[in-house]
Parts: sequence; C-alpha cells; structure tokens
Amino acid sequence: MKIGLVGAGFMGRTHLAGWRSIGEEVVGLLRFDDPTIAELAVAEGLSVFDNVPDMATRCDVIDVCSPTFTHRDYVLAAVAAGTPIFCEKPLALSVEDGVSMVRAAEDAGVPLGVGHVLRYFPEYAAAARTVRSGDLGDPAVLRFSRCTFAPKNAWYLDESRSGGVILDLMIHDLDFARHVGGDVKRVFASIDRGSDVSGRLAPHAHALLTHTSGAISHVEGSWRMPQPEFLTSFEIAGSKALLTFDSRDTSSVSPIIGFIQRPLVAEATTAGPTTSGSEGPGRVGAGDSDSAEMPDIPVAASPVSEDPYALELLAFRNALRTGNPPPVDGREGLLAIQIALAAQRSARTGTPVDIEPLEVAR
Amino acid sequence: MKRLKVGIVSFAHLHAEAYIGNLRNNPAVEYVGFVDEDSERRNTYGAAYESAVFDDWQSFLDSGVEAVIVCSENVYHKRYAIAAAKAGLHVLCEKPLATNPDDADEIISAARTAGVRLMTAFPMRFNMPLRTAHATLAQGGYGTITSIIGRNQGQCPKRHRAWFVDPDLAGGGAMADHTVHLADIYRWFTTAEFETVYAINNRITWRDEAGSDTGGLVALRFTDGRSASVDCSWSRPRHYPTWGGLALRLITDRGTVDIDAFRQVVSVHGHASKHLRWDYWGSDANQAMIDEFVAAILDERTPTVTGEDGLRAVEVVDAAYRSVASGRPEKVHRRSVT
Repeated sequence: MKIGLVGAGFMGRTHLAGWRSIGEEVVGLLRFDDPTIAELAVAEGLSVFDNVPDMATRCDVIDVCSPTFTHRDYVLAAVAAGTPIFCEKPLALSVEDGVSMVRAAEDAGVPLGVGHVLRYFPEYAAAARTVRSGDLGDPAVLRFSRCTFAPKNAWYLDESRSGGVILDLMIHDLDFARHVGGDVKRVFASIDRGSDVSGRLAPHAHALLTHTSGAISHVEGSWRMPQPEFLTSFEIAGSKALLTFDSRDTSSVSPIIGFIQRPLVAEATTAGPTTSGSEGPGRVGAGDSDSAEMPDIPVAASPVSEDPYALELLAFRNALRTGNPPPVDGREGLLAIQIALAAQRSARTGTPVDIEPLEVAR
Repeated sequence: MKRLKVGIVSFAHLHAEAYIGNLRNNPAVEYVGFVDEDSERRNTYGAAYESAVFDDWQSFLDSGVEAVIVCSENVYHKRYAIAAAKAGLHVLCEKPLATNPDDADEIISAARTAGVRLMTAFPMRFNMPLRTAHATLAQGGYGTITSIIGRNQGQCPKRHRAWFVDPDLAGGGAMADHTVHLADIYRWFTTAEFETVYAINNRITWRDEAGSDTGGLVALRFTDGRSASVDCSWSRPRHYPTWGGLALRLITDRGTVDIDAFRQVVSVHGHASKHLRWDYWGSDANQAMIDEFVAAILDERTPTVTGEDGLRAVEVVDAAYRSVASGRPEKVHRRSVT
C-alpha cells in the first residue's frame, strides 16, 4: 500500500516509522507552510504533494496527522477523492465537523479510521480483553488517569485549535471508558486552571461519566505535571473482578544513576599531601566540572517490543485488505469527541451535559 | 493519678473492637465496659474482649463513666450521643456523626447545652502519612492546592456487620459510608468549605449483598471555586489484599502530591491462602484519635476534631444524595454553628 502523510510533526514522524515497520511505503507528504516538511522529505526521500487530490492520485491511504484544527478539511478532501483515510485523534474540534466528516465518508463509502491508539497499548488491550472475556462481570466503577506536562507546541495550548487538555489528552481515556464501559449518557467535568491564589496554570481536569449501562467512570487528565513525568493508571471494578494498573508499578527498568561517593582513604593515597578540606564532606574526588556533566535522573521505563502506533496502523491496513470496516472507525472517533466536548461544556457551565444520540452514530 | 472513666456505647460498629484496646492502652483511661441493648453482642464481645457489660443505661451511668465512644448503628448516634451529653458525659461519636444534618445539629446543640466535649471519630486526621503531608503543606512545601482527587474504596462491609448495607440503619450506602472521610480531609487540607456537590452512584459491585448503593463518584466545589472529587465505592472484591484504602492526589501550583494512607504494608504470599494479603504496619490512627479525645477532656479544651467537622461531612452526604436524585449539582446547605 502507498501512504500519503499529512503532517510531519511528532505524530507524522511516528506514523512514518509505523507504516514502514509494517512494510508499507510512505510515498509523500503534503505541502504545508512549515519548513519541517521539506526537511523531512529530503531526509526520508519522500515526494511533496501540493494538495490532497494530487496526493490521492498516487496513494492508497491518506493519513492525517496534522494539527487538530485542520483535520476536517483534509478528511473531507480525501473523501472527495475517494481515498481511504486514517485520521489522528481527536477526529475534529466540534460535533458538527465530526458529523460532516463521518457522514461524507459513509455516503461515499470511503473507509475512515481514527487513531485512538490507547486501545493498542498492551496494558489497555489486556484490560479490554479481560472485560470482554466476561471475567470482570458487569463494569461498575471505572477510573482512568493520564497526567503529564504541557506540550510545547503553541497550537496545543490554544484551545481553539487543539481543544485543550480534555479534547487532546483526556480523549484517550474517554474513548477507552466508552470502549469498555459502554455508551455514555451524561457527563460532568471540572477543569482546574489554577486558583485566585496561584494564578493561571496548566490545566488539570476530571470528568464523571454516567454510562447507559449504569456503570460510572472517573477520568482524570492533566498537563500540570513537572517534566518529564507521564503517569497513567486505571482501574475497572466489575461485578466479578477488579482490574488495576498504575504505570509506576509496572516500570521494569528503573535506573538510579548519579553521583556516587568515593571513599576518603582512596583519595588520600592519590592526592598527595592532605592539605585539602576545602572541598568539604561529600565532594571528595569529584570536582565541580564532574557535577556539571551529571545527567538528569533518567526516567523509568516499561519496554515492550510492539509499537502501539504500528499496531493501530496494522489493524487499519488489515481491515482495508479484507474489506472490513476500520477497527476504530469515524463513528467511534465522533462519539469520543462528543463526550469530550460535553465534558468541556460541563466544565464551562458547571452543570452536567446529556449526550444526545447522533443520527450517524448507529 | 486520677484516671478518666471511659465506656463504649453499643458494639454495633466493628470499630468498637479496636477502640476497646485503644482505651486500655491509654494510661489516663480507666475502661469501664460497654453498654448494649443486644444480648448477643453483650455475650459475644463481652467474652471476646473480657469486658464488663451493661444491659441498661442507668447501670452504665452508675459505673461512674465520664466519657463515651458511641459505636451504635449510624441512625442511633443521635439517640445515644444526646442521652450521653444530657448525663454529662463527653462524647466521641463514630462517623458519620448522624444520618442527616438535622440530627447532627441536635447532637452538637445537646453537647453544647450540657457543656461536654464532642468529637467526631475521623481517624484519618491522625493517620501519619496524611498528618505529615498536611504539615508540609501548611509550611508551604507543596505550594497551594488548586484541586484534589481522592478515593476511599473498600469491600462491602456487610460481612463485618449486616446493618452497614441497610440504608435505614446506616443512613445510606457506600456514599454515606465513605464520602465523609475525604470530605473531612479536604476541609482539613484546604481550610475551605463546600459550595456544591454533584454525585452519581450505582449498585453493581456486591449487588447480591447490599440493599444500598455500592458504587459512587462525587464531584465537589468549594466556596472559593476550587474543585475536588471523591470515589466512595465499595469496589474492592472479596479477595482484595486488604479491606480497602484511602488515597488522595493534591494538585497544586507546584505539581502534585500523592498520599496513600494505607500503603504501609507487608505483602503476604501464602501456600494455603489463594490470595495476596497486605499486613498493615503503619501507625494506629485510632489510638492517636482516642488519645486526643482523652487529652482534650483532661486539658479542658476543644478536641482538634469537633462535632461541627462531623456536621460538615454529613451536609456533603446530604447534598450528594440530593444530587443523585435530581441529576444536578446541589448546594450544600451549611448550617451556622455558634
């Protein structure tokens, strides 16, 4: 399959590697008012297409990894060209946009997949398998948490372009809560942007979901963490079992690397006359130049051999090959943004927001 | 040394089994026994704890008892706490202080009129991880709180005492049982009061055991606009390594602080037992709570946890159940306590 990539930021590069790892050829990038496009094209030997129709003539799939506020136009252009689309999450910035995208794709019979990659992270996939197996019983009380530092790119911090912490970050868990807990009928949310005392700060949000089944979910999403923290956790309590996961408990490589004290006696034998004492305790054998080179404390890791981004692309490609609908389709991407936008509105108004059934979301 | 004569009113609540040892551990206390209308409880626990028992209120008073811990079913807290106050006894009342704000208010009034000390049994105020975090926060070490996420989850308490899952006796289900602890901790940590409550609940976990709600989530807003949430669910299954737990995350202007009140455990993996067990080795908060109750009486001062603290938590539960019924955020009806 030949892939056309829209966007060459972090997610574009991640998808480029993902497509290549499953043996698919990324043929080119879409021209964009951004020097990184040309740089990446040269570095990776890719074509640059002037517009989506041009790209569509040479590609079997158009993968939209551009900033969220551009998704709608690129997806609609790809639909018009009749080319299958993989669109990064969140699908769109409004339910109206999402509906128009899903409806256009359905009317044209063009497959539209959405990159809710969390479902392909092994810990979440394992939890979903357990829920599906019946071992959990009926989902009852679900908790999801995703806490990290604020992204650096300006468009992320501009809520009118990224949707903010709920639509960009929490949406992972809102989708997953819906995936395992079933459809959501009511949302209540709160965004902590700092207080009168603290002034304005990176947002920390929490949402309470009422699922149609009667299950309830608590979802926490934060850009308030100091770098480089990225903490995730979940628990799913059911009528028959409780699943729990915390990224801090499953870190499998946990380096503690830094300055190590050297014995005083060893220093005395090599340093000649013991005239010193100026360095003071705890600094023997280590000049200031050494301490300047000390690395930051490394982050603990939980390594796995499968790349979740490659897995989501693989599942999408396999669906296209077999003629099946994409495993996470536009309809599901739309339901996720509907919940996220309801949460945003609830946080703004202080009242719960009901999720109205959508005509396209059968 | 003259010792304070302390007794227990009712062994309905399982905490009485811990408190009896705590009272005996306090050198300033002479434990006089417990009064209980239920003969089975008198016989069972009187024998198990080698305790004097009283089957009627007058003989209990005749023992010379000066202070009591009320451990009855929640709905009877009012009856016993008011009777004790009228008899001039100081009262430490198990949480929740009452099953509704009116009753809590009456307990506070009765204690005030009688001139006795009234304390609500919020042992988490004496939990060392929480105390340590509170002290650091008070010194500015964590910055200022902008919101709080907390969870107080447990197994269904029915196996301990059947009345816990009877809303008529307990005053509610998991939402009444577990919301009060975190509500009180949030007030303690923020020194703020609650404005509104939004709450949702269900009965899915333990549904065959409980007649009440077993799962619940509560979103709180303080009068100063800050927000918080509580998971009050009985969501721990039968073979969870321990009874449950309480943990909170403070979100501040400098980062976050995770506090787990019950992580101080040894994990026990057995040949005979099929499941992991956590044996707690942290400090006994109940002991520190009872020591404070006794010290406040002897020092003739207000306990560090009051009846008003108990009332404020009950007001949150009241608003939470109103919110469940209405589907809307509900105002906390805060009574003035003079």
